[in-house]
Amino acid sequence: MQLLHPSLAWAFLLIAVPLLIHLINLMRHRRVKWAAMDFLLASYRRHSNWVRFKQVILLLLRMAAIALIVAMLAQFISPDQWSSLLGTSQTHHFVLLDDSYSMSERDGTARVYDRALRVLQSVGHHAANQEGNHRLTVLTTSEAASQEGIQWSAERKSTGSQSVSGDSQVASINTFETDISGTETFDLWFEDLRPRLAITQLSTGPRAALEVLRELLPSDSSEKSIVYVVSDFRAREWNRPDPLRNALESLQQAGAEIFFVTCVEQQRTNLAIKDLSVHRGTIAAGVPFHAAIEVTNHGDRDVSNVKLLVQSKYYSYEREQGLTPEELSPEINQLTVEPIDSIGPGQSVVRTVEVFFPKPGKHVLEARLPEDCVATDNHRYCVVNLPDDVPVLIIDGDPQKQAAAFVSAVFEPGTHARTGIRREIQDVSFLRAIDPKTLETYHAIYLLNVPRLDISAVDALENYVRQGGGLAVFLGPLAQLDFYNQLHDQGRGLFPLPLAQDDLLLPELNQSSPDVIVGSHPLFRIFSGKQNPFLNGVSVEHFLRTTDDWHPNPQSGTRVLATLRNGHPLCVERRLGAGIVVTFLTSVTPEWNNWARNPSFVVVLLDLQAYIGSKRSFPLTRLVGTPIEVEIGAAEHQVDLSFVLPKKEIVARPTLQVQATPVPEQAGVLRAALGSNRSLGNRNRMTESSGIYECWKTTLAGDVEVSRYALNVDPGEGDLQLVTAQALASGLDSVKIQQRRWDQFDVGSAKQAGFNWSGPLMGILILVLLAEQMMAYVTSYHVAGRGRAT
Amino acid sequence: MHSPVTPDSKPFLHPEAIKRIARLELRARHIVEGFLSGMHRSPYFGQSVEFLQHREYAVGDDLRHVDWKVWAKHDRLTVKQYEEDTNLRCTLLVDVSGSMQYGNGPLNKYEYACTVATSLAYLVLKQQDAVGCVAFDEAIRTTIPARSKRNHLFSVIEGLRLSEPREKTELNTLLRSIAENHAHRGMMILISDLLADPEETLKGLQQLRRRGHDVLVFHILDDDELDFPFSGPIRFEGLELPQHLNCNPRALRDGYLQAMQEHLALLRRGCADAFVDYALLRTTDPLDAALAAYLNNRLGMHHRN
Repeated sequence: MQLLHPSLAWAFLLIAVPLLIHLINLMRHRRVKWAAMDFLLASYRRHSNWVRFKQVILLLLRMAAIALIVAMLAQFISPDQWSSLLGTSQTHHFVLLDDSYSMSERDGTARVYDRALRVLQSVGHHAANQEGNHRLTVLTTSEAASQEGIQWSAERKSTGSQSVSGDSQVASINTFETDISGTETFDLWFEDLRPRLAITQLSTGPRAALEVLRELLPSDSSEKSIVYVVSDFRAREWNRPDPLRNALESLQQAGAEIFFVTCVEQQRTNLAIKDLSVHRGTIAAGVPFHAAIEVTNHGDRDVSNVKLLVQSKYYSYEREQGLTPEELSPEINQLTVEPIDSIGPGQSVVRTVEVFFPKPGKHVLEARLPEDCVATDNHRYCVVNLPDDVPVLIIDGDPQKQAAAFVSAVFEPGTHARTGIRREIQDVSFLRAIDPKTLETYHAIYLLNVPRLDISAVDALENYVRQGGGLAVFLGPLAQLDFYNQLHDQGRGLFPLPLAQDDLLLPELNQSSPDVIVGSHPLFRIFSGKQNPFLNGVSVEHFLRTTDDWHPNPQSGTRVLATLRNGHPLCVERRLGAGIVVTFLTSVTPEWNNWARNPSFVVVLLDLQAYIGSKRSFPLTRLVGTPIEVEIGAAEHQVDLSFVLPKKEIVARPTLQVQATPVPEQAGVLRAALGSNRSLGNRNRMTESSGIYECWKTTLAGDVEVSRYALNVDPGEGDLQLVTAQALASGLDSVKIQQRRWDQFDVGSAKQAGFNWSGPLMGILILVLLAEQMMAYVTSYHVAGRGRAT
Repeated sequence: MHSPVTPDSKPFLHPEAIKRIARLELRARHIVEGFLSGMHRSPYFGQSVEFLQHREYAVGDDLRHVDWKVWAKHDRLTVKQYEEDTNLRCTLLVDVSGSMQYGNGPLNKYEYACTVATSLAYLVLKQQDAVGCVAFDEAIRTTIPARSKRNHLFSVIEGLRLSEPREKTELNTLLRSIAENHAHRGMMILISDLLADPEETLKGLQQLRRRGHDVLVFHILDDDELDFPFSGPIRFEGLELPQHLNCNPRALRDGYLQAMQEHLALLRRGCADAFVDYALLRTTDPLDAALAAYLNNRLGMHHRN
């Protein structure tokens, strides 16, 4: 027996009120001197028993009515043993805890996630204070995401996926009695669980968790299920509720009652570093390059005077030898960045910074924003895998290698100037039987005036491009049109366009416009602006003309970057797989034009190298939570590796010793991974904090090699825009949702276990009141008109 | 509670009531022995001289009543018959016991009874008849002998006034002793609430009838006693005996009314059997209306005889 409002229990004393009234009335007897006592006594003797019986019944009815009213107001809840006939016997509380990093928002002094934990605690306390069997299941969104094994989508630029296995992090409480010890037991359990409920730096939405929850929901309808979605309800995840609605509908169909508990009061302004990447360009040791930092304002008002801190960490190879990870300290340089005056709401601002590392190695760039309400997205890391130089393959069809000479003069101008590019000039025959692996070492391949290629060479090149390589094709007098048309292969092949014939660009009498018309493309930065002196200096006499009916198909990734003044394309690019092909329909050498003699040629060629070689240069962005896999050659490295994890606050960087295991399908290759396998049913959380991870490998000769990996958070999670309650309600219109705030969250009557008797009590009360009225009528005196007893 | 009867007799002589009753005539139901003529057929001889009729002489008639003038003219023996108002002896038996003290209206039962008695006395005296009075409770308290003088009314009033009501009514022995003390036949008017054993009461009335009295009963009861309109917790305390009862009167009403009706029915039937005129008067009934209705009724009964 239990009352929802136990404070009303004293009201049961009101039952005594009719009795008191009766006693007071006895004391307040009116005295009447009466003559006809005999008749009165006769009547009393005759009726006394029956009258007393009726009066006692009336008194009991009145007391019962008061008891019923009090029980109804106090919301009498019967234990399940009673109500199992009418209601359910077991209540299962499912708390879906959003532990994505947007929950780490600091709202004043309180952290949003702490509120969520308090909600969880209050759910537990309420369950503990109720009779009946209660189970509590806590599911975090990160856990659900890892369980469901969401394939990290390509747009998130991730490289791996989490494995799907193991059971859920489900904890259960057994039946609690309605004494304080129940609450204490829950608190012990909660304290035990709390470290495992630490907030993550992941960006996990609610959908996966809802779907996992559907699996967890009991099919047995005798169990009452209550789902509490404890989240911050950001617009990013909740504004498109269609898939969520389906998931919630299925929950509701399974008989679950759904509560949305929001832990955020209002949207706050948050700045996030959206991107930190090495700017396009040739990245090599000793060559300055640019890094771009993109800062986004996820707020609803302007943020001004943002001071961005960027530092580079330079690790020289010599230093790494003979040191332990703890002893290794990089050379840190603070880079100067122009402060950001103002960022409008929803806007992004890009700042570039010049970076210079004198020697090759795996160096690190870090960017940091001043503290705001969400700290997680204020840091971003980038590993610059700096080679000594960038190898480039140049195939010249002309045995005299005249074109190659022009190009290599640009790439390796001399000892005083360094471009970081190492060119390698080869004949056409070089490609004939080339190993794909060898080809992959080149950051770009230049085909200059190549008449034709073997099929194997074409295959190798196409494979190279599809894997992300960059290919530049300059035609020339030696080029055979049928081969290139074959290479075009109706749009399916490597070459971007079909060729019709070689043609002359006749000089105009009145030379008003330049021969070359360029679009706004990074390749032709040098030509930007009207009346560009460089552009006017370039004249094209001879070119290869495409067929008249050819038009670039945007879906095939083909686009014209520059045309001649007669409208024929001069420069066409084609994206193929992950790579890119850029074709110039004229020659490098000054046979067909004078461009190679123009200073702009150097700039365009270096930009071309940066453009087509960038795919090779920059590693993909890794998101937190993705595993780091390292492959080593058994013949070169020792089996024992160590992974060094990012530093957390003041603790020294944790080091993890790992043994690489052989890869079954590849002989001689060993593999080690961090954060991929699950241990003891729990997900591996090794890679769930952002920062720089290191893998220390030792060669058989005893040299230490260090690889570095930057894991960054998903900057979109920092978008703190909230979904409005109305939008949520209308988006989920078909689902019955009860929305609460964390501080309004009071487990109300609807969530009570057991059977709430208020409804039946009301009926009984009405019956009792009717009976009371009847009884009162029967036992009272009524004048029937004015008739007299005579 | 009861306020003592004031020396002023006026309260018992409500002028309105007396005025209306004065237009009526009190008629006896039975012919009183002693007077053969007059409005009241008296069983007594020679008291009135109003000629009624002639009748042929029959053997046994008193020769004094032969009309010798008729014999001289017609040679027939004729007897003269007279009918005239007798000197009616009317005795008022007024109950002044404690139970008569109850009253919720303007008059309690005792005051009402006194008023009725005084009114009747006045009426009787105005008709030149004699009126007496007996006030009783447990025993006879005062006895006013019958006189026909006009100022005898004040003696009656005085007798009533002096009788302070106290104790229990016990009618049988009382009526028997009254019957023994009033040898002359006359009219007995009993004014009481009759809250006593009805069997005993009826026996007493039968005693009076047996002595040849013409008996009238005015049964005085309060509205409360007849309708029992009480509500709320009440402690009833006996007016005569130290009894009390705490009760919810509504619960007891039906039983009480039933007992009361049985009591009334028993009295009414007993009176009818004994040729006793019975009338129930409520203390809220208008005095004149009650008396007038009763006297009319009695007159009607007289003419039917």
